[in-house]
Amino acid sequence: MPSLKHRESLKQIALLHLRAAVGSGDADFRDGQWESIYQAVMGNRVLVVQRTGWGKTMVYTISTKLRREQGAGPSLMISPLLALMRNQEDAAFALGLNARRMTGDNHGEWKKIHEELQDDKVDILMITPERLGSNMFLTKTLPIIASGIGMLIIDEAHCISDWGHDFRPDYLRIRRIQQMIPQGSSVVATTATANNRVVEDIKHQLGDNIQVTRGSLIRRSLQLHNFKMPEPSTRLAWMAWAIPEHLPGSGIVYVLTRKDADLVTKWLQYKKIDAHAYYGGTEEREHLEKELQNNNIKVLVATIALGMGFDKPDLSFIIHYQRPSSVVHYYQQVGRAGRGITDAYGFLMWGEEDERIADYFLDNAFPSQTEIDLVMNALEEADSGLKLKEIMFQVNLKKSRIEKVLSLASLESPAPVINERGIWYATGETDGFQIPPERIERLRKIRSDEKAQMRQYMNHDGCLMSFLQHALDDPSAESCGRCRNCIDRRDMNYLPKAEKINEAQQFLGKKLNQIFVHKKWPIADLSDHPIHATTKIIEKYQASWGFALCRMFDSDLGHQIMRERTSGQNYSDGVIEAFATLLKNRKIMPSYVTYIPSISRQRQIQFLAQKVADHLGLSLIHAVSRTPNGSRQSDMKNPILRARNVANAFVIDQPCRAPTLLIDDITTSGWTFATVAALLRYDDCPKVIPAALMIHTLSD
Amino acid sequence: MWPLSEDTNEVVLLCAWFAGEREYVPLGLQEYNLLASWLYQHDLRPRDLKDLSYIEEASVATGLNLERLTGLLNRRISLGFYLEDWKRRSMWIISRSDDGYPLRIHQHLKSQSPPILFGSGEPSLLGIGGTAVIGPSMETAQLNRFIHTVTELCIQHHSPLIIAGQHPISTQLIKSGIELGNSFIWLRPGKLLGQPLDRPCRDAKASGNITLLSSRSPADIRTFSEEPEIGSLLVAMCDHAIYIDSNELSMDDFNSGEAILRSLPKKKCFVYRHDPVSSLAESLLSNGAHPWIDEEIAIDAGLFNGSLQRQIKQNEPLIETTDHTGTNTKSSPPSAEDLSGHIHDDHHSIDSSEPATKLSTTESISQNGVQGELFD
Repeated sequence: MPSLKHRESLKQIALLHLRAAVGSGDADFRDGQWESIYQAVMGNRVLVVQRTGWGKTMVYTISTKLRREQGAGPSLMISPLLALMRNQEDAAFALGLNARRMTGDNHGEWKKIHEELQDDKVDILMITPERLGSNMFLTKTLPIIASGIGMLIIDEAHCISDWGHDFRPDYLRIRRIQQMIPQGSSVVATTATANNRVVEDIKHQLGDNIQVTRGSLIRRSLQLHNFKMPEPSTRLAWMAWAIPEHLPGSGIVYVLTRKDADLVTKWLQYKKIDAHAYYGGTEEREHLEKELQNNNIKVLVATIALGMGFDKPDLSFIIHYQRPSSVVHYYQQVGRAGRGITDAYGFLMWGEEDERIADYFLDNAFPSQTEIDLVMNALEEADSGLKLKEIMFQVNLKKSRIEKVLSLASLESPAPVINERGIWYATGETDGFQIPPERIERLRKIRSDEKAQMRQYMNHDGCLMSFLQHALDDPSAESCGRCRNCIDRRDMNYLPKAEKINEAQQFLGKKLNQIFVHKKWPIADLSDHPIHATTKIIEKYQASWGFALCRMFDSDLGHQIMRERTSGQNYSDGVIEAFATLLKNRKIMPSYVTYIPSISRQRQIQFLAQKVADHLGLSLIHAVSRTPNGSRQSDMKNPILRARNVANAFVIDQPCRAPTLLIDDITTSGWTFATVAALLRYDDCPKVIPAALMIHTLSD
Repeated sequence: MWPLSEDTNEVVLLCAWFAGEREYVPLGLQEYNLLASWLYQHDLRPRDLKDLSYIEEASVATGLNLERLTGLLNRRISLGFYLEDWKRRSMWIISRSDDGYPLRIHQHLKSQSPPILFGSGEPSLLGIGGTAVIGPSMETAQLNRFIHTVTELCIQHHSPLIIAGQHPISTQLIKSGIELGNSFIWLRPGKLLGQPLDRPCRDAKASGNITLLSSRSPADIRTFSEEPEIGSLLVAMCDHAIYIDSNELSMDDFNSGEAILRSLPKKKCFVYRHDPVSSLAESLLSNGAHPWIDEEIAIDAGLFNGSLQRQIKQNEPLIETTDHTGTNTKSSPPSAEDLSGHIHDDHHSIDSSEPATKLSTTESISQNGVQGELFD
């Protein structure tokens, strides 16, 4: 047991590090900060539950600094988000620590990082939880540091708990790893968003002897507002008004889907606002974070990918374009703003699509047992392993459902499936594999309760900040005196002017409804036809960009088209006129109109095509007919099966040797358009322009 | 087997390679034996090495570098990552300190027993014995026919096949055996233990008919040919061996032939001859191995005498064990308790009251020239 004197001298050293890091000679530890550092340095397990901006990063960076000064090996940090890691690199740098991250976006640096690890020049190595399962990490990286990981840091530790709002299956692995790490090893876990139940669960997972530091979650600088705006166009118009005129500084607009991130960004750009889209898979995420940090960007339009941990003290506003899935998510996201400034704003809007999107995520959170069995059987029957595409070829499920099954199954221990270099294998443990129904039911209930709590928040007429604190079991919850309800502006009118809304409506009509052009078949050798001779669709066989009247759920029109389609009756004059007007306005100038023959709605589509041809003053050509091959395309759940299903399903009866408009009522994956367009073009059609009444969204 | 015992945790930290250790090389067998001997003399167990003062004492007494010992034991956090991965790949780990360590290996190899065994599949197969097949790397039609015969015989006599390596002939043996429903112990390089299996092996594993075994960790990146202890393990596991002589490149990467030679005449060996006879085959034959003429003659000469078939005929249990006091107990399948109380060099005394059908511990220790001592 170290003496008090030793402890005090250690504290003085730690304080010097803190002051150096924050650049202030009179900075001092916050309540619980030094105690957490001390426990970590002494080889104990620590859980820090503190609001964002409290200084959790200081706990593990200073602990690492002290441990390194004592000769310990580097700290290994597991953190779920890139944005977080980039911030942490900077925070570590301020303490003279070399923090390096090995993530999917910096492959090129891995060799150098390995060299630095070998030379003991890395103080904190940061990885994502997904990286833990990679062969590369276990065989190349971990061995270099095997003999001396000084400390394990688990950031956003609430992800460990499946009681948490943001449970991540990959954190299961962390849970098991830390259970196998003997006592006496330093482990620091941090989170800003854990209620009592989650804290207890984390304690249980990390060992009941873990030391917990917990503080108040209130952010006094934040002024919270929430208001209902059902139509996307109204919300777009409001943002175009509020951001340039009423919100100084820079901020973030949160959206639920990537599609919305692109849409909102394009709108704001159209309105001359310096906006950029940010979501998983965007190549320039790091660049965008830096630009926002340096106030070179007015607004980032982001999905949850820019959530936990992004630290910009002077971020002045957060706008939610749609309702987040839980109050805790909301707290976490809105908490990005106002850390280092006295006034910041959080605007939460909710629209008519929010409930549907929330239900979609809830319904799709877990695969069914039938889906699990289908995937397991395919792998069991395989002589060796299967690539994802091969599984998709055999199993009629959406790609995302197959991936979900594989992801959950591969995280079991023992795992019924494993992935080696991109190939999935059954392990012999597949028999009877299931995700316990009671667990699914419990998690669904948690998510459903979260959704209900979010609705409560939207309609809450008391202090909004206090509501958030209560939701997180913050014992110090109190009225903020700043939110919309505290300052009694519940009658505030947020509605933009009608002409602004009209402008946004027109924008939506144009931007949303382009039909994507496929440039590659999903797999090779779909048929013997020359159009399938290469995986790449040869340019002379490709369709042009096409147009749709609407997307399925974006407007009343979408619902009307769906109703008319299901009725089996001909589409109404109103729908047809709107469609024809759209096509006229596009100035695409085809010479012919033809259509995609349908198994079950041939008359309906033929009528639609005839009417469009009449409106446009063009001839309708019955150019395409169906072969006996192929089933209903809507029965095919993934793009590979869709592409395969239509590969041999059509023949050209009459070539169209001039630009042709190709009509269908609904398009989902676009493979039918791609296939028929390629066949038409193979038969000398110089241009094929797809056109559909509606694009089906939220599909693969 | 999960979670690992505290003792095994420490033994894995001391002896297992986690891929490319550079700074601190894990302890080899003889080094570990030095340490185990010191622990035994001081009535300590591996788990006591969590106490730095014991490590310091052990270092002084054994001459093992203190920094190296602490460096190896400091791999605790990394160990968590590897254990998680190995468990997820349905592997198991047994150390010499565990009661479940296979008795056959202890009896045959004594202090040369690997400190840790890594495995996958049905562990109870390790207590049954079987027929080791050691042979050439290349298949021929004639060899395939012979292998088929051996496989059929093993099934008839309830004798699992024990093989090593990755050569076509091993694959042929497994394929042929699985089709006929035989059981296998397959000694493989550690790094292949957690790798995916093709469907026949996967099915055999799922039905409990295959055990994969290695003395090397799945993270050990050293080459296969550096795993000579596999030969000794192969012989230790078997009741008898069939040596397939050949001028072809041998599949015997692990000196299994040499290992069986050392075990003669206690283990029966049959040599399937090739013309010209190799020098090793000649040595085997001149030291008591039987030439394979046909299966009838081989059986008359004692093939399968020590096998399960004989035990079943005599209504004996699948495994013969002794309890802590040395009294014979009979049970099936083996349990941790069943397999305890023998030559647990890390903490138990020698039990010399082995059944007659088994190798006498005292005898075998004498053979090693360390009469009455646990460690050599």
